[in-house]
Amino acid sequence: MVVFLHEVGAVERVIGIVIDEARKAGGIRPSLVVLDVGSLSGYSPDSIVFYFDLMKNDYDVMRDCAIEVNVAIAKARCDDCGALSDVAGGIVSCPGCGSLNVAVVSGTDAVVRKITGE
Amino acid sequence: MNDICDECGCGEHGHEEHVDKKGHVIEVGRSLNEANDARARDVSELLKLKGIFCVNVMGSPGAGKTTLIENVASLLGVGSVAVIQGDLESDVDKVRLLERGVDTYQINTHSGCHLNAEMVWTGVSALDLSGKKFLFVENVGNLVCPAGVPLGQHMNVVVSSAAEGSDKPRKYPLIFMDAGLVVVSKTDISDACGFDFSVFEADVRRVNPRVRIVAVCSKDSSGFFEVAHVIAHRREHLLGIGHNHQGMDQK
Repeated sequence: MVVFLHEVGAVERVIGIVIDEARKAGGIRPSLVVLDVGSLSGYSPDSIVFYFDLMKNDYDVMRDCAIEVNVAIAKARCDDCGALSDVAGGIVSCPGCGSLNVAVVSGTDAVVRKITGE
Repeated sequence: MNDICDECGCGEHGHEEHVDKKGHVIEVGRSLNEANDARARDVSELLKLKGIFCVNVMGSPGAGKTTLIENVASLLGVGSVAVIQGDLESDVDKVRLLERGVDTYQINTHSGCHLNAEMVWTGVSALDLSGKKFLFVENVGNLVCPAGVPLGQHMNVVVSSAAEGSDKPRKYPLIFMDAGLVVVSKTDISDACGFDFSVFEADVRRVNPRVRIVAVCSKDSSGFFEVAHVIAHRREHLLGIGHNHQGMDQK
């Protein structure tokens, strides 16, 4: 029995995007996909790599494709002083002025940045 | 990589630079969340057009999500409430809600750890929403994965029970950060569980400074009226229904 974990859906979407973009580029054979994963996206990079290496084999065009996963640290902006800071540890406060009026402005998403192929 | 390079005929360097020049590089910039986010907007806009306020109810398994929905639905008027219920398996909670007279659609994710907008769209399409003012989506019991996954809701409610301890906001900050209302349930057993409300509240405020926190208890029905009032009030704000703020929830 296969246990589906959280990243399986994400990997399905990555593969779907790669196949779609490769087709739109004239039917290239992908060799590398670069994925930027936000630190607040809820996705584990190791799990993405693990499932990608398994699931790509279901698609002939994807069999030679590797994945590179980069982590993008989430950022928050302070509504009081405007400072931008890294989000870490889950407690979001402004390192500049100590305000708790901070809003996460990036890092909750995962983006397929580029695809290389022939 | 010691072959003769067919780009320049030499054998003195590797092929990598030539492969890059030969190969296609497609700049993509496509989000993994784009499809879900788009569907969530569909849900949110459709419900708003129909005058229906959608609440995403999240919390651990057994926190008291269904009990909250049952009690609040009774106060709002069961005829005005519909529920989309999410669990891995079974229709236990759907049966419970139907017995109270609440129209309910059951989603079984089988192994999925949170609901998504497509699932909610399916439920919205299947339910008879005529005359409804509120749609509660009871998410899969989980303090991790549902956080930050839009379903088309107009408000997030996080339920955390006294039995789970005072440290849930510190351990699972993301879900509390996103909450429009935090409900502490099973307060009748706080002492038995060593639950410290002031610790809990302080940790919630570190990630969500101004969120309203309401304590509820199904044994004496305390707190549910306040929750129903907050939700009804937020619906009026969403739909631009004028009302008097004197003595009422300011948020």
